[in-house]
Amino acid sequence: MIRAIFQYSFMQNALAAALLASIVTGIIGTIAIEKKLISMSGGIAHASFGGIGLGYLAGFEPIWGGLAFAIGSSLLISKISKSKRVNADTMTGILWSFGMALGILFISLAPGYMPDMTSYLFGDILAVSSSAVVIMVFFTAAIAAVFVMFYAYLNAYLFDEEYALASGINTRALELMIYLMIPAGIIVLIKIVGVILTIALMTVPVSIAKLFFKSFGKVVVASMLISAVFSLLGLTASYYVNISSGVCIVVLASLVYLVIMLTRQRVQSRMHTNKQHKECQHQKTKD
Amino acid sequence: MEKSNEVIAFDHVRFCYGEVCAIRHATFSLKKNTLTALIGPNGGGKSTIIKLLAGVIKHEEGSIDVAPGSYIGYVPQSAAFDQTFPITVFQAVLLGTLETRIKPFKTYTKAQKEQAKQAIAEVGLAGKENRGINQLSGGQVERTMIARALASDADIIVLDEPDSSLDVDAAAELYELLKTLKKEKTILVASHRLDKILDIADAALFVDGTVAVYDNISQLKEKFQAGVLL
Repeated sequence: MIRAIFQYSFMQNALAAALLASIVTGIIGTIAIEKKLISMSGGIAHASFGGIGLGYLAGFEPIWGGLAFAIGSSLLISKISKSKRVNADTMTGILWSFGMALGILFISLAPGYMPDMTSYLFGDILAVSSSAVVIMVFFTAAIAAVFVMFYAYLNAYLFDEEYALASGINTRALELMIYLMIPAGIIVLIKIVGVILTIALMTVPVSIAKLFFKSFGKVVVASMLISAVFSLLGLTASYYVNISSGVCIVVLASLVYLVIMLTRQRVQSRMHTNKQHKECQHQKTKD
Repeated sequence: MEKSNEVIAFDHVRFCYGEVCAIRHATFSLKKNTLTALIGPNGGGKSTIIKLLAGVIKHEEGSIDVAPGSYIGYVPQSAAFDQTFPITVFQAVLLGTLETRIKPFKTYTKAQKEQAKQAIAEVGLAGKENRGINQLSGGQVERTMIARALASDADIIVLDEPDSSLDVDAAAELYELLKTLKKEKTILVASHRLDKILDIADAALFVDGTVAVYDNISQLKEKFQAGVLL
């Protein structure tokens, strides 16, 4: 496969896409988990499919349509989350299915044969074009720049929004940043894991990192590295067995997470028993 | 501010959540370097008063005056923030020193780090700076949040039911800490544990839609012991 990376531009694009997606996962995955916006992120990802379909129908790059729908949904959910009349979770559910339905509708209305949408639904890392990589670089750079620039304030806001507000920090501006970073990040991830599996790539690497690190910055960096490993393994699997990259990544990541969780629980309970045993022996020696 | 030793003055303050008014005509003041207990039934408006003081919500009528140069440090209820958030004690306390105005590429100065370390030592958590928040006991979490308020250089500290999820020993340690802090800070603490909080309070505010001021704590204690209160 290494030779293929040097030989074929599609493999170089795939490698770049995997690494860019890992940077995005570390940042927006951690933010979404800590701000409890995972369900909203799922809604945004699915709503973006409506824009992708519109792109096919109107003849422009589908990813721009996807981005417009994703940002629109994100801002709508943000606004509704403050309303007492409508539940933001309900609106997320509506946008989730409405976006998917619109996407199918637009694609059905497009003239000619219905295109294969599998790469948008489940991701296809081997089909990432050079122009798509340029778009991904742009969004990843924008997300990373905002995150690094405002890291201290995002940390304060994500940990304790009420305290940040009481301190006089402009929490509305930080909220807006987050509600724009998430849809932009989702657009990057869609190329790798697709609309349907985006949430898995946003949650699993972060959940694994959180098991080992107790600082926000370290969790973000560790999530990026873990995501890079999964994405590269997914790319390898996708290259050799010709299965959607998103499926390979998500199956692998979820299995690794489950194994770590179970092993960790066993190790922790064994350590606890050993500790109790030692304390008992120590007490007996004293007596 | 009518008297020189008053640091906070509420004058006929009203706040409503939609059509339901949590407090009306709230008039009281807090004296410098005293501990005032905020007591009353659930839903009576204790948290509303704390949040109004902290600036989380804005009053609709009346006025809230804060002595010039005074700064309020807020200690929210433990349920208000995520205790599984990946953050160490030191990092959490450091947030108290963060400047209000958002500055790109903000890094903490040596002085800010020193301030955070001092605040951590003041609440008795020295040596636990690198512990994750999720590795702390309930009492230690409350102490961390108090340290964050101290690190902000606040001279007035408002605490929203800091003892609500603590066991008896942890609560006793917390009251002991508040007793020490009131020598240099003005403290307002909302609590349901009247038997304990009244022991360290200099004054009390009974909140149930309106505010009744008790400058004489022993009188209030007698009422409580006789079962007249609550």
